[in-house]
Amino acid sequence: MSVPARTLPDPAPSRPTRTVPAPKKPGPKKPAPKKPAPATTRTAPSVRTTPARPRPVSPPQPRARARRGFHLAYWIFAASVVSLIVVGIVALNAMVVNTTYRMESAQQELDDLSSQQKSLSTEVARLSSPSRIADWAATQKMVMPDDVVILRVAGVGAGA
Amino acid sequence: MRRAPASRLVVMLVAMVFAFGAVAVRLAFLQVGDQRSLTAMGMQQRERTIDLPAERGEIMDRNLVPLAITVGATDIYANPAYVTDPISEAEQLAPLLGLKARDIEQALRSDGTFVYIARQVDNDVAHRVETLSLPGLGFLPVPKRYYPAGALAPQVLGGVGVDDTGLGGLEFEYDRALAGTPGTQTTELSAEGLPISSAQDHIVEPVPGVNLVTTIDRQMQFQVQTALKQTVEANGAKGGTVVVMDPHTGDVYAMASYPWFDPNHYGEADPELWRNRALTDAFEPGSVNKIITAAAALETGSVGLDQRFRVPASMQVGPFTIHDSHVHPVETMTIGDIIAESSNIGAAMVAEQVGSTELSNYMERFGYGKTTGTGFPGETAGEMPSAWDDVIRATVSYGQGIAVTPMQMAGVYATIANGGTWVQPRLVRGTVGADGTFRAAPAAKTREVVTPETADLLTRMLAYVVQDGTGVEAAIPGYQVAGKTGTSRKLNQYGTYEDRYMASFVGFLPAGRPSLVIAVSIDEPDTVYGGVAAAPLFQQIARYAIQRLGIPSAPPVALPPHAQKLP
Repeated sequence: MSVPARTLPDPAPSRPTRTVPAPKKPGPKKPAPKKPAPATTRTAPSVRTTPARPRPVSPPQPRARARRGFHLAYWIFAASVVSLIVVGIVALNAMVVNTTYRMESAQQELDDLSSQQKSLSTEVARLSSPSRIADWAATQKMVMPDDVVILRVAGVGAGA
Repeated sequence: MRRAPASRLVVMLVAMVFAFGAVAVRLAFLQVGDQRSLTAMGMQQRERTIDLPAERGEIMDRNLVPLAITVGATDIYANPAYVTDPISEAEQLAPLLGLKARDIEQALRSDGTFVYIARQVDNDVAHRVETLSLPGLGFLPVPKRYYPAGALAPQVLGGVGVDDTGLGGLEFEYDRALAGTPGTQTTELSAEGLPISSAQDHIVEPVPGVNLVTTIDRQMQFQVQTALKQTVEANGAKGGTVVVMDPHTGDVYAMASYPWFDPNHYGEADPELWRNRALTDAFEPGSVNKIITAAAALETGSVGLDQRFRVPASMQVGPFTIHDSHVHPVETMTIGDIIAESSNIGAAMVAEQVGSTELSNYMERFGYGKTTGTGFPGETAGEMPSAWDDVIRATVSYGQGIAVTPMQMAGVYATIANGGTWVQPRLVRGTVGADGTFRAAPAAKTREVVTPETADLLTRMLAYVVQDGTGVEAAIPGYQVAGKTGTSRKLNQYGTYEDRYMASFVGFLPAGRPSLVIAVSIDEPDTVYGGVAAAPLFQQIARYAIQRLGIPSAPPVALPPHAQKLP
């Protein structure tokens, strides 16, 4: 049993190139290869009588080396872009997290201050209660005036 | 015989078509026909929605001082299944919560997995309980209504229950506006019923209730309550009611009913004390009602200001004999004298000239027989006679045989003070929303009852009452006061009169440019006369109000023609 020898891939296109011309590219048009006319009648497959002609092996072309160089630059460029995007996303995410943290912190502070304000308002309302002040005044031996004398100013109203 | 392959394929195809068709039909039924119920079922299995309580709005006085606020508190509950030592836990909890250890122990030994130990406990007390780390105890944050001024206008404010809903007074009347709109939080649950941490909760924020701005002046309310309590105690009375209002706007500055209660302990107070007697209790007004008889007489022209009546010592009306409060010989009186001396016989004689129809008509125009329109829960319309005859007309003329609330009575005198135009009294000035914007309540309704000229004549008569009549105890040096005393017998539960009296005084000041109306009624005082029991309280309140509101004096009004100099 024989092992087929490894051969370099044929750099030349093994398939016929597409012949549809680019619509907007100016320049001389290459003549499209003629397509074989479709068979209209079925025929029996012909039996090969001669050995297959060896395919011509074309030498390596400098264009392939240029394409390899292009690949490297492309990959460097792509890696840079991807890295930038990743860094950008990470940075953006970090900013969002940081802002969210600050927002939550501010919200917490707002809640605390609101709670403190409410607590202080309640305390003020309790302490300013007239009954509490009257009780406190009584403990300080303060008394209500026995009789309030209302003075009349000449020319302003008049009493009975 | 073997079936041809093509036939088997056809059979298979038909079978497949039927099978898939059945599936498609079932799918259509499920996704179209039962879509709603199945969606709801799925949501119910997957989601849990809890209510987010809205913060109850505050009730404030007219100067935006809070009278009722909501603070945080804690409900302490227990899961008896986890309680290891009920006796020890109960003994530790009892002194902190002010409860009996036996009651707590009983709760801790109860069946079930949830039992309240104490509700709406102050947060600092709850924190002290929490530090005990007793097994089986749980804590729930809840709102609690707090009245920082204590027993200040408790019957006006009312109270709320442990579920934060209004049970009485303004808390009940404006419960919907105060309560706000609760929000919801919808959480997605896993198959085990636990919240999915990565799922986003759907939260509908609660809308807090509006703040209610009342017409009450906190300082004046306190002074009124202090003075009322002193008067009731000094007169050995059962209770008392005071209404202080602005005759032009209808704003009620103070409304007090003694005895009262602390609204911070609403549920523990005697329900009898919850009643705002100024609006919910009607009484026979007595002589303060004579001013309506006089108004009807003057407005209809039935009686002239100078017309003189020969008033006997007693008067027979049907089977009844009418007397005055004091024995006197036959006297000559003008309508001014009748009002000033508060003659029942004289009022009956005036009413006879007015007629039952006109008298009834004017009482209705002054607001009798219908509520004042404050919308206060439980406000009564009072009682008017269903049928009029000579006896009814005579007794109603001096305020017996009808029933009115102190607020209705204050409204009558406010009408006279306001130049004959009745103004609907109001307890609420407006609301303050979450955005801090004040929205004024609709303007008070008004209606003309008597002409300004008649109102002026009535004012002169009322000033005469205070200067020389039964109301001298209400006089304030430097200010001309206009008012009327009243002493009425009370009915018992069988509808017959007893020797129990209601003493009252209703008036306004200054007579020349009225700024304030005060209605005072003292329930069953030792000294039954309104001029003795109620008029001094009027004067005390008026003196304070003059300072508090900065009421200037005004030129005095002329006294009405009178036939005699009263003592």
